[in-house]
Amino acid sequence: MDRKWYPLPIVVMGILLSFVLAMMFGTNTYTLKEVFDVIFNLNMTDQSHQILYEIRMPRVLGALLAGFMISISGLVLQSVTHNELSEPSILGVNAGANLAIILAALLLPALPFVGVMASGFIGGMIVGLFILSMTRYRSPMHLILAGAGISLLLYAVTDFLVITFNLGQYVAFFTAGGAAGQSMSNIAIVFPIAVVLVIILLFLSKELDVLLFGDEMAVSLGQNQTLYRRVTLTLAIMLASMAVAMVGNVVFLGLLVPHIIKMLFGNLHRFTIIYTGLAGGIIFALADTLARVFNETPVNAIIAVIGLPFFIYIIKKRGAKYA
Amino acid sequence: MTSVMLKDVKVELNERTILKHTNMELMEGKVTTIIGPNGCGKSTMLKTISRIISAKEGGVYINDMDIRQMKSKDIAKKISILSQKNRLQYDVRVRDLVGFSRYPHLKRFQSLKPDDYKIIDWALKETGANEFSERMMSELSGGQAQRVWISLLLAQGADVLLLDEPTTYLDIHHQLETLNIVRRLNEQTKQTVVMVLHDINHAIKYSDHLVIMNEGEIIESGHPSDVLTNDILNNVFNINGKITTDPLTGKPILADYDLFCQTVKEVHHGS
Repeated sequence: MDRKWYPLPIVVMGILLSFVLAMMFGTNTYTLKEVFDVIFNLNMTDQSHQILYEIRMPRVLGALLAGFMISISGLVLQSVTHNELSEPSILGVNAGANLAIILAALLLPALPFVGVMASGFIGGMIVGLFILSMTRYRSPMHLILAGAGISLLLYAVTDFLVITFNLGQYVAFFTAGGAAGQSMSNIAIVFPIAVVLVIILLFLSKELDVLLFGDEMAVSLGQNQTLYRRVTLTLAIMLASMAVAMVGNVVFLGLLVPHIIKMLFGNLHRFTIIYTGLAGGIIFALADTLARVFNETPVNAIIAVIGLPFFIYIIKKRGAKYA
Repeated sequence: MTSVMLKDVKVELNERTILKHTNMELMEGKVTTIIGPNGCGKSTMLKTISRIISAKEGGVYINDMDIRQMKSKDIAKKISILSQKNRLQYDVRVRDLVGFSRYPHLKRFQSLKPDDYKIIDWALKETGANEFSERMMSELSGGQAQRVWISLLLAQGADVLLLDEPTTYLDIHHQLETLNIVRRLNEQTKQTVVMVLHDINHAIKYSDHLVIMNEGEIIESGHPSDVLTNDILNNVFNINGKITTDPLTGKPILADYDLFCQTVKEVHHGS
């Protein structure tokens, strides 16, 4: 077995540890015993148990899941577009989801929260796939330019609607990003889909490797580049759209986590997909915990504050080799 | 064996004709070298054969099959190409890079099997790249990296190897090392080799067959002793060359060469 798999048990432990920490700390602090009781010995008449089970656990699991999806999506986008700065928002997913949520609020005011999330997912998918098909899956540079341009247009429309109909309060939760307001039923829907999509990506890891290492190599090895670009980008858009529907505009995570993992584990996708996903979950869950501890500070700010120094440290230490 | 034929191939890039109606059959099991001045269409010819560039008219045929009607992976099993600029944007371990070569032999969703690893090990050993197979590509010298790229070509298991300027950017020692590996492998495996070289003496020394190109056309082709003349050097490269016979090998050798116009040099000396 490749020695790059040796750290895997530690990372899986990290998921469990971050789950427990995230359950314990927040606006209110709970003991380790209470957390374990909620999992193994739930008593719904106990008020702490009730809060932990119904509010905090969905939030923590949602954060783990969203971090997992956003980071893997960012990894795939970086590889396929050959662009170090790629992250899910470059394909217009965030802009599409934002607009769809505003439209849903205007046209279907009675829609429950699940419906709002679903409309975000659909909006992200539509815009992401539209940009993909518009650029005919060919040049990565076209993709990035089209994504940036259309995102700007959609944000402008969104802002116009928000200002005209005075919806600022309503969209704040979404544009700021955050894992609040999750429910176990949402997670039960998203989790299996995310797992299936990531398993498909794992099966495509050698295709992603060949795509990453460039056009001439892909042609020389006989890869159908157009097909695999299309398939992998579609999977990435689905993951990003689900994440954006759950936790809003989370930025920087999808850029940061794949880079950290690639610096540590190299560029082969059979390693990076798993590690990126798990590390993304851990980082987002911990960032969300800090957000709760510090009076619901926007989670984007927390990610930037804890992520950036780490990022700079790794670039300085490993940057020469990585570049 | 794999026969490769170019039939009446015409290639245009940005509406400029790069290759004019070219016919050529690759010499099976031999080393063929294409020489010619910059921009004469040498690289384009290799890229057309390996379908990186597609022909505007005519076609490339592998065992009498048009490559446009073949599956891309099937072509990759027959023809492999070493590009001129193999500059990796992303770093990777030597062994993993050579592992990519088995891609055309894998089915969808399949990963490398023990047999593939045997072939990878063999290919690394053939070029001596096994000495540094656990290192990262970024840690290697130019000569070492070139050995890795040739291993990749070998492990791909194609009958036809196309090498686009395999010696560019290498010092003289590593140029000869690379070319020796190519010739030794050709003698062992009887793979068809077609390469583009700039050094005329290398082309003579390492080739069974020379193809001389100019302005998108094949001017002359044949055994190095037959095709290489002072007139050709004069007309194609616009240099004043003196071809003599190497007393040791009996092969032709480009003993001396200079530009026809010496004025620039003289003015420089006189100042």
